[in-house]
Amino acid sequence: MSHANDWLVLMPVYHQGRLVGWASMFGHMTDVGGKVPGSLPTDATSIYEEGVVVPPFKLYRRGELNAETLGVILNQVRMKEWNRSDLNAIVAACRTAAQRVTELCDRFGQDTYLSALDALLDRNYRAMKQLIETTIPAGETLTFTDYVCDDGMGYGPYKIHCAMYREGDKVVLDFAGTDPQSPGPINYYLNEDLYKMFFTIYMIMVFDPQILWNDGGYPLIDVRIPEGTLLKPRYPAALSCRTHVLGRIFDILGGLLGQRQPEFLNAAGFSDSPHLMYSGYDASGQWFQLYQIGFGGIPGRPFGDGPDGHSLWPSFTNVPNEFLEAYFPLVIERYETVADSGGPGRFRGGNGVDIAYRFLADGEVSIHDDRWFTYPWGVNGGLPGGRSRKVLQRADGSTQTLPSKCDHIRVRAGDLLHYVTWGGGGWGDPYERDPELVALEARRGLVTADGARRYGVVLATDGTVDVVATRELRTQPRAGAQVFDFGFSSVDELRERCLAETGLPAPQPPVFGPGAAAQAGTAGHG
Amino acid sequence: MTYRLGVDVGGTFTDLLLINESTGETWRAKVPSTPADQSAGVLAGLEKLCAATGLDPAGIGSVLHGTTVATNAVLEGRGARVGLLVTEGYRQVLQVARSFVPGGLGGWIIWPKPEPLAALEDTGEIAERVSARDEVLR
Repeated sequence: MSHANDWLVLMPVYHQGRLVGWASMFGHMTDVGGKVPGSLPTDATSIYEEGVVVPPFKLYRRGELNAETLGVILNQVRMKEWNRSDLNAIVAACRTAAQRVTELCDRFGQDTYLSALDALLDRNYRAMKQLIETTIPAGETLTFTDYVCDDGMGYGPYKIHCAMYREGDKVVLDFAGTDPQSPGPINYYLNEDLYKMFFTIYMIMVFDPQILWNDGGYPLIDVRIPEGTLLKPRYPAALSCRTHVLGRIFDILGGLLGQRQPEFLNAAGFSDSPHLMYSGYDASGQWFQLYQIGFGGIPGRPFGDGPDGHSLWPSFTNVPNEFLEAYFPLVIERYETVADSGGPGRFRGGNGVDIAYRFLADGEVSIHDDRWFTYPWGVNGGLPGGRSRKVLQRADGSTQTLPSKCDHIRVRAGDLLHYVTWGGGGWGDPYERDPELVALEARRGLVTADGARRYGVVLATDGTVDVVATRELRTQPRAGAQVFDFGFSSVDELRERCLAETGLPAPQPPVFGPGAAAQAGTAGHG
Repeated sequence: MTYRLGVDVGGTFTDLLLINESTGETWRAKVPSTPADQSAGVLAGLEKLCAATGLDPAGIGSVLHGTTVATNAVLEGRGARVGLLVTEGYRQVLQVARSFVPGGLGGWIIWPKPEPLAALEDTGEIAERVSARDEVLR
């Protein structure tokens, strides 16, 4: 568990008195109390500000609910019935899993069931061993660095650095060189085994999706995270807004795997889970509290274009606007992707999404997003995707660019918020994209005529390809393609143009507090 | 004595099931489907059943008709080219759909996103809006 909103249930599975397994499920509670609705305060400097932190305890003892303890916990959250219902759903999921395991044991016998599990783990172990040997070069250290733009308190960007190298038949993932922990809430307490899971599934998906996925290959993976860093902060660091770093380590995995195999390399994607919180009292005096998750551009892939406005996370779907408008005082006036926000490439990055929320009641808004300062990078000649932005058009006609991470934004009935997420990076040389496809996407409103020029395509006024002008544009000299195009040459250069480009002041270089590891930035693999 | 006929028109075969409602007795027939005119295959199957049982088609009281033709058209993308009219601001509703990417963690790496049934270039917007409470907003 990496922040207080996540509640995890573990349930032992017994069959005829023998422990044959564990069922587990977790879920992000909409609210766990604390200083702001949604419990992700952007200015928290310790975990004590982030709501109720539930230590491991027995929710059920011999099948009987521990109602007293649960009552104490629920008394500290804003939407008790939601937590209660979500917890019920989690328990039901565990019971379903336990039921299925029990049925397997009934049908095949305990010994057959358990030895089959061992065989499945062994199958993954052998596949991963082969995959590591054939895809990760021995005797070479691959590194990758990416950033989280800011900490919500005006400081950033924060650097995440990972080195990948072989030690015998093992692969080492070493995060030495990652910035020290933040004084703010963007720290992500990354469990080593969890990263083994991320690594395993990415290896499989990138290199050989037919391989069975489980944790059999964990002994082949060594994850090293220095204490006192962004990824292993010391208690009582604030953790609530960890979603940005959590998302970014997937871009880092992508940047490491395939770095030596461009045909397997993916661009940077929609590596975040942006949130919008909107709360207050509606016309009938009822408290309302919205927790909405945003989606953006899937990166350009060796496989093809990245989908527009989709989820990088499994099983996530958007909440239908019909539902939102029925239960919350708002109207969603526009819901569309942003033309040209997908990074140009032979395979285009997916576009980010612009959702226009018209608020119908006075209230308060919180925003959690990233990639407003750095770019979702492109690969193999592909260009970076567009950044995120948040613009509030007040009912009085004024317009305000909101920070990427903020709380306590007072909104009034009639105000309109444009919540714009970012696109995916492009894959491959955009000049290799079929001009007819670029023209089609212009007709579809996914790229503009100006944007088409970034593919070396000139469109005539009727929207068709100007073949002669396109040929001429595509033969003009260009800068050489890079494996990674981050969209900036240095963080300082990025700072200089930040205000003009984003409407927001550049973040200040992070100042690390006394809890942070002084050596975190220097220790590591020699 | 009444009979009930069930028909299932599939992509390859048309299956028919005839039931004698008094006795529960059943007969089956399988004939090739006729995509150019699906009714031809159904009638051929009916004739086959009548020939086998000596039944007068007038004795059939009801026909229950099911088909996977529409499902197949959707799956194979072989239906007509259609346009779609949507509320202004929602032109890309099928492009974004539910934002769902199947395949678990990392599934996006290999997911081929299907083309929407109505192409985006054939989707138009109407300047209107009705609220969740059925009020006409514009």
